[in-house]
Amino acid sequence: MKTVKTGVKSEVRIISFGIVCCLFFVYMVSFIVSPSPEGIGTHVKFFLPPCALYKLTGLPCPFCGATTSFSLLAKGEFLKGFKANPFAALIFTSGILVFVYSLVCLAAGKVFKLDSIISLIKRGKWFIISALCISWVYKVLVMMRIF
Amino acid sequence: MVEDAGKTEVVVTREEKASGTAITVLVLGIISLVCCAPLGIAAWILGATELSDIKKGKAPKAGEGIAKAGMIIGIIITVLMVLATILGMIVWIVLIGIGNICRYG
Repeated sequence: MKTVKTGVKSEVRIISFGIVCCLFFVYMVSFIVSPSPEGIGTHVKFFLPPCALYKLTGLPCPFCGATTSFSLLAKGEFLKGFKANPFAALIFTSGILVFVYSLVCLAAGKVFKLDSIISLIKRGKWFIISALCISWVYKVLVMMRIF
Repeated sequence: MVEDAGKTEVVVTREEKASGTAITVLVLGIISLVCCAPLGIAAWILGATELSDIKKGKAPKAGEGIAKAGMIIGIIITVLMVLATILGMIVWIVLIGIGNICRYG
Protein backbone atom coordinates (compact mmCIF):
# COMPACT_ATOMS: atom_id res chain seq x y z
CA MET A 1 0.00 0.00 0.00
CA LYS A 2 1.39 3.36 -0.99
CA THR A 3 1.24 6.30 1.40
CA VAL A 4 0.41 9.65 -0.09
CA LYS A 5 2.72 12.37 1.27
CA THR A 6 1.63 15.16 -1.06
CA GLY A 7 -0.60 16.88 1.53
CA VAL A 8 2.15 17.01 4.16
CA LYS A 9 4.76 18.25 1.69
CA SER A 10 2.53 21.00 0.34
CA GLU A 11 1.72 22.13 3.90
CA VAL A 12 5.44 22.23 4.71
CA ARG A 13 6.09 24.20 1.53
CA ILE A 14 3.32 26.71 2.35
CA ILE A 15 5.05 27.65 5.64
CA SER A 16 8.43 28.09 3.92
CA PHE A 17 6.79 29.99 1.07
CA GLY A 18 5.06 32.33 3.52
CA ILE A 19 8.32 33.10 5.32
CA VAL A 20 10.17 33.64 2.01
CA CYS A 21 7.43 36.02 0.81
CA CYS A 22 7.36 38.02 4.08
CA LEU A 23 11.15 38.44 4.18
CA PHE A 24 11.31 39.25 0.45
CA PHE A 25 8.65 41.94 0.96
CA VAL A 26 10.61 43.46 3.88
CA TYR A 27 13.92 43.47 1.97
CA MET A 28 12.29 44.77 -1.20
CA VAL A 29 10.65 47.68 0.65
CA SER A 30 13.97 48.36 2.46
CA PHE A 31 15.70 48.54 -0.92
CA ILE A 32 13.11 50.89 -2.45
CA VAL A 33 12.71 53.34 0.45
CA SER A 34 15.28 56.11 0.67
CA PRO A 35 16.94 56.32 4.09
CA SER A 36 16.52 59.41 6.25
CA PRO A 37 19.69 61.54 6.18
CA GLU A 38 19.41 62.18 9.96
CA GLY A 39 19.88 58.47 10.64
CA ILE A 40 16.45 58.04 12.22
CA GLY A 41 12.85 58.47 11.17
CA THR A 42 12.71 56.53 7.88
CA HIS A 43 9.69 54.59 9.22
CA VAL A 44 7.64 57.83 9.24
CA LYS A 45 7.33 57.35 5.45
CA PHE A 46 5.18 54.29 6.21
CA PHE A 47 2.70 56.51 8.09
CA LEU A 48 4.00 55.26 11.46
CA PRO A 49 4.33 57.73 14.35
CA PRO A 50 7.77 59.17 15.16
CA CYS A 51 9.64 57.78 18.17
CA ALA A 52 7.96 59.08 21.35
CA LEU A 53 11.13 58.77 23.46
CA TYR A 54 13.14 60.80 20.93
CA LYS A 55 10.42 63.44 20.71
CA LEU A 56 10.15 63.77 24.47
CA THR A 57 13.77 63.50 25.58
CA GLY A 58 15.91 63.93 22.48
CA LEU A 59 17.46 60.54 23.20
CA PRO A 60 16.99 57.72 20.68
CA CYS A 61 15.22 54.52 21.73
CA PRO A 62 17.00 51.14 21.21
CA PHE A 63 15.27 50.70 17.84
CA CYS A 64 15.72 54.24 16.51
CA GLY A 65 17.42 54.03 13.14
CA ALA A 66 16.40 50.42 12.53
CA THR A 67 14.45 51.17 9.34
CA THR A 68 17.25 53.48 8.16
CA SER A 69 19.75 50.71 8.86
CA PHE A 70 17.67 48.15 6.92
CA SER A 71 17.39 50.56 4.00
CA LEU A 72 21.14 51.28 3.93
CA LEU A 73 22.07 47.60 4.28
CA ALA A 74 19.65 46.60 1.50
CA LYS A 75 21.39 49.15 -0.75
CA GLY A 76 24.80 47.66 0.09
CA GLU A 77 26.01 50.49 2.34
CA PHE A 78 27.08 48.16 5.13
CA LEU A 79 29.15 50.52 7.29
CA LYS A 80 26.51 53.27 7.24
CA GLY A 81 23.84 50.67 7.95
CA PHE A 82 25.78 49.35 10.92
CA LYS A 83 26.30 52.88 12.23
CA ALA A 84 22.58 53.68 11.91
CA ASN A 85 21.67 50.84 14.28
CA PRO A 86 24.04 47.91 15.01
CA PHE A 87 21.26 45.74 16.45
CA ALA A 88 19.17 46.20 13.30
CA ALA A 89 22.21 45.09 11.29
CA LEU A 90 22.26 41.91 13.39
CA ILE A 91 18.54 41.34 12.72
CA PHE A 92 19.08 42.06 9.00
CA THR A 93 21.86 39.44 8.79
CA SER A 94 19.82 36.90 10.78
CA GLY A 95 16.88 37.57 8.48
CA ILE A 96 19.02 36.79 5.42
CA LEU A 97 20.10 33.50 7.03
CA VAL A 98 16.44 32.62 7.74
CA PHE A 99 15.55 33.64 4.15
CA VAL A 100 18.21 31.31 2.69
CA TYR A 101 17.19 28.50 5.07
CA SER A 102 13.51 28.83 4.14
CA LEU A 103 14.44 28.92 0.43
CA VAL A 104 16.36 25.65 0.87
CA CYS A 105 13.40 24.17 2.77
CA LEU A 106 11.05 25.34 0.01
CA ALA A 107 13.20 23.86 -2.76
CA ALA A 108 13.89 20.56 -1.01
CA GLY A 109 10.43 20.20 0.57
CA LYS A 110 12.00 19.95 4.03
CA VAL A 111 10.25 20.92 7.26
CA PHE A 112 10.99 24.51 8.33
CA LYS A 113 12.06 24.00 11.93
CA LEU A 114 10.46 27.06 13.49
CA ASP A 115 10.64 25.44 16.94
CA SER A 116 14.43 25.17 16.79
CA ILE A 117 14.69 28.85 15.74
CA ILE A 118 12.44 29.87 18.67
CA SER A 119 14.44 27.74 21.12
CA LEU A 120 17.66 29.27 19.74
CA ILE A 121 16.23 32.75 20.45
CA LYS A 122 15.15 31.62 23.95
CA ARG A 123 18.60 30.17 24.72
CA GLY A 124 20.35 33.27 23.46
CA LYS A 125 17.98 35.74 25.13
CA TRP A 126 20.64 37.33 27.34
CA PHE A 127 23.01 37.67 24.38
CA ILE A 128 20.23 39.37 22.40
CA ILE A 129 19.37 41.73 25.30
CA SER A 130 23.08 42.57 25.82
CA ALA A 131 23.52 43.23 22.09
CA LEU A 132 20.44 45.49 22.17
CA CYS A 133 21.80 47.45 25.16
CA ILE A 134 25.29 47.86 23.60
CA SER A 135 23.68 48.94 20.33
CA TRP A 136 21.53 51.47 22.19
CA VAL A 137 24.52 52.97 24.03
CA TYR A 138 26.37 53.20 20.70
CA LYS A 139 23.39 54.90 19.04
CA VAL A 140 23.09 57.41 21.91
CA LEU A 141 26.81 58.21 21.64
CA VAL A 142 26.49 58.62 17.86
CA MET A 143 23.50 60.95 18.28
CA MET A 144 25.43 62.98 20.88
CA ARG A 145 28.25 63.19 18.31
CA ILE A 146 30.74 61.52 20.65
CA PHE A 147 31.43 58.89 17.95
CA MET B 1 4.23 30.52 66.73
CA VAL B 2 2.08 27.46 67.50
CA GLU B 3 1.76 26.08 71.07
CA ASP B 4 0.67 22.45 71.35
CA ALA B 5 0.73 20.54 74.74
CA GLY B 6 3.73 22.38 76.11
CA LYS B 7 5.71 22.16 72.87
CA THR B 8 6.46 25.31 71.04
CA GLU B 9 6.73 25.09 67.29
CA VAL B 10 7.88 28.02 65.28
CA VAL B 11 6.31 28.10 61.84
CA VAL B 12 8.36 30.14 59.45
CA THR B 13 6.70 31.07 56.20
CA ARG B 14 9.05 32.56 53.64
CA GLU B 15 7.42 35.08 51.38
CA GLU B 16 8.13 34.17 47.77
CA LYS B 17 9.19 37.08 45.63
CA ALA B 18 8.85 37.43 41.88
CA SER B 19 12.06 36.86 39.96
CA GLY B 20 14.01 39.66 38.31
CA THR B 21 13.12 38.30 34.87
CA ALA B 22 9.38 38.52 35.62
CA ILE B 23 9.77 42.16 36.69
CA THR B 24 11.90 42.82 33.58
CA VAL B 25 9.09 41.40 31.42
CA LEU B 26 6.54 43.79 32.93
CA VAL B 27 8.91 46.76 32.67
CA LEU B 28 9.62 45.94 29.00
CA GLY B 29 5.88 45.58 28.36
CA ILE B 30 5.12 48.98 29.89
CA ILE B 31 8.02 50.67 28.04
CA SER B 32 6.79 49.13 24.77
CA LEU B 33 3.30 50.48 25.50
CA VAL B 34 4.49 53.99 26.38
CA CYS B 35 7.34 54.82 24.03
CA CYS B 36 9.19 52.00 22.26
CA ALA B 37 6.89 49.48 20.56
CA PRO B 38 9.60 47.05 19.30
CA LEU B 39 10.48 46.21 22.92
CA GLY B 40 7.13 44.36 22.97
CA ILE B 41 8.87 41.52 21.09
CA ALA B 42 11.43 41.25 23.90
CA ALA B 43 8.63 41.28 26.51
CA TRP B 44 6.83 38.52 24.60
CA ILE B 45 9.88 36.24 24.28
CA LEU B 46 11.15 36.82 27.84
CA GLY B 47 7.62 36.40 29.23
CA ALA B 48 7.16 33.09 27.42
CA THR B 49 10.49 31.73 28.73
CA GLU B 50 9.74 32.95 32.27
CA LEU B 51 6.28 31.33 32.26
CA SER B 52 7.74 28.02 31.03
CA ASP B 53 10.39 28.25 33.80
CA ILE B 54 7.62 28.84 36.38
CA LYS B 55 5.74 25.80 35.06
CA LYS B 56 8.89 23.68 35.38
CA GLY B 57 9.48 25.00 38.90
CA LYS B 58 12.74 26.76 37.95
CA ALA B 59 11.35 30.23 38.78
CA PRO B 60 9.19 31.42 41.73
CA LYS B 61 5.45 31.16 41.19
CA ALA B 62 4.91 34.66 42.61
CA GLY B 63 6.10 36.13 39.32
CA GLU B 64 3.49 34.35 37.21
CA GLY B 65 0.95 37.19 37.18
CA ILE B 66 3.57 39.85 36.52
CA ALA B 67 5.18 37.85 33.71
CA LYS B 68 1.79 37.05 32.19
CA ALA B 69 0.75 40.73 32.27
CA GLY B 70 4.03 41.86 30.67
CA MET B 71 3.81 39.15 28.04
CA ILE B 72 0.20 40.00 27.12
CA ILE B 73 1.11 43.70 26.74
CA GLY B 74 4.09 42.60 24.60
CA ILE B 75 1.92 40.40 22.38
CA ILE B 76 -0.71 43.13 21.86
CA ILE B 77 1.92 45.80 21.07
CA THR B 78 3.86 43.47 18.73
CA VAL B 79 0.76 42.42 16.79
CA LEU B 80 -0.42 46.05 16.47
CA MET B 81 3.07 47.19 15.43
CA VAL B 82 3.45 44.46 12.79
CA LEU B 83 -0.04 45.13 11.38
CA ALA B 84 0.55 48.91 11.30
CA THR B 85 3.95 48.45 9.62
CA ILE B 86 2.62 46.07 6.96
CA LEU B 87 -0.39 48.32 6.29
CA GLY B 88 1.87 51.39 6.13
CA MET B 89 4.26 49.68 3.71
CA ILE B 90 1.39 48.55 1.45
CA VAL B 91 -0.16 52.05 1.41
CA TRP B 92 3.29 53.55 0.70
CA ILE B 93 3.86 51.16 -2.23
CA VAL B 94 0.36 51.87 -3.62
CA LEU B 95 0.97 55.64 -3.36
CA ILE B 96 4.34 55.29 -5.14
CA GLY B 97 2.60 53.28 -7.87
CA ILE B 98 -0.14 55.92 -8.26
CA GLY B 99 2.53 58.65 -8.32
CA ASN B 100 4.42 56.89 -11.09
CA ILE B 101 1.23 56.36 -13.11
CA CYS B 102 0.35 60.07 -12.77
CA ARG B 103 3.91 61.14 -13.71
CA TYR B 104 4.36 58.90 -16.75
CA GLY B 105 0.71 58.56 -17.80
